[in-house]
This record gives sequence, C-alpha cells and structure tokens, in this order.
Amino acid sequence: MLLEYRGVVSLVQMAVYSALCFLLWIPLSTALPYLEDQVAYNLNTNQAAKNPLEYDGSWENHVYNPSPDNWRMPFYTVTLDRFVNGDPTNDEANGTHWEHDPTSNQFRFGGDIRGLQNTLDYIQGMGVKVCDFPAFPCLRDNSRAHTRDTNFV
Amino acid sequence: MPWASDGYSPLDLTLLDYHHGVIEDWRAAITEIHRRGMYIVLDNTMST
Repeated sequence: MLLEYRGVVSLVQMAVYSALCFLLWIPLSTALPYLEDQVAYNLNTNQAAKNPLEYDGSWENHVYNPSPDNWRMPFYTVTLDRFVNGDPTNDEANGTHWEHDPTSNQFRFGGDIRGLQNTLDYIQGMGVKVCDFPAFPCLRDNSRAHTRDTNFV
Repeated sequence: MPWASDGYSPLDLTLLDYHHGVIEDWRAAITEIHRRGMYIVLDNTMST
C-alpha cells in the first residue's frame, strides 16, 4: 500500500519526513497482506510479498499484443464508470446502498468493463482503433484530489 | 475510502476497483479489443 501523507501540510515537512525515513532506514511503503477475498481483483500473485517491490503477476497463456509503430489513429477516451453498466451486481461492490446513482452526473453511475466489451460493436463501428482509459481503474481514495463525492459518504 | 469513480487518487495500484469487474472480465475485454484489431491504452495515475 502506498504511503499516504495525510496531515502533512507543507512540502518542507514532507521533505524532512522523507529524509528522516531514508536516514533511519524506515521503509516508506509496505505491502498489503494477500487476502483470499481479493484474489479476483489482485494483480499481484506473490503471496509472500512484504514490500511492493516484491509484487509480481502475469497473465498465463497470454500472447503479447505488440503496440503499433504509429499511434496516429482514432482514440476513444472511455470514462469507464460513465459508459455502460454491463454487470449490475458490482454497482454496490463495497456492500452499501449508496455507491451509485444512475440519475446523477455527480456520483458513480455503474459502468464497468463488461459494459464496454458489450458495446465494442458501437465503438468499432465509429472507426475507433484505440480505447483509452484516462485513469487506471484501481482501488482509490477520493479524500485528496477529488472531494465532491464525500457528500455522499 | 475507495469511492470516487473517476480513476484518480489511487489507494493501491495493484488492486482493481471492485465496481468495474474482476480480472477475468478485464482479460476478456482486452482479448476482444485486440481480436478486433484495436488497441487499449491505460493511464497510470501515480500521484493525483
């Protein structure tokens, strides 16, 4: 898990803290334990990892698809949550009743990767060659950069 | 708390958001995109 600099109010304090950690050999980050209920979401498959540098993972029986030499082709930027809800069972995946609102443009809609896959005919039909995800869809924190959703927590 | 839907402010870059599907869903979608001769681009938002 990446270290969160909560409560650190200035860059100077952050620099001093980092320097102290470096001098005292305090690791700046530690690994989350490997949990059974997260296996389907966990890109790391090294169960013994003590440090994020030991994380490892691979896609078995996957043939690598090489990138093109020239990326000048039609892109389609997919804000995944706003797109198509292909699997309603994961709309409230954290186990509460307040994780999506299809009628709001200020809150989670419910779109997911299965919805995108179901809609590839439409995307490809427009001549699109690249699906671009503007932010990596990993477990995330909204308390720092984007605070608007905290009204709903 | 992992609530925001936009993909910024990552808590952990090795765990997928539960709301968007499991790894197998992602692999199926990526395979299908490649099968259609299309590509996929993922941003890593390390410090937002």
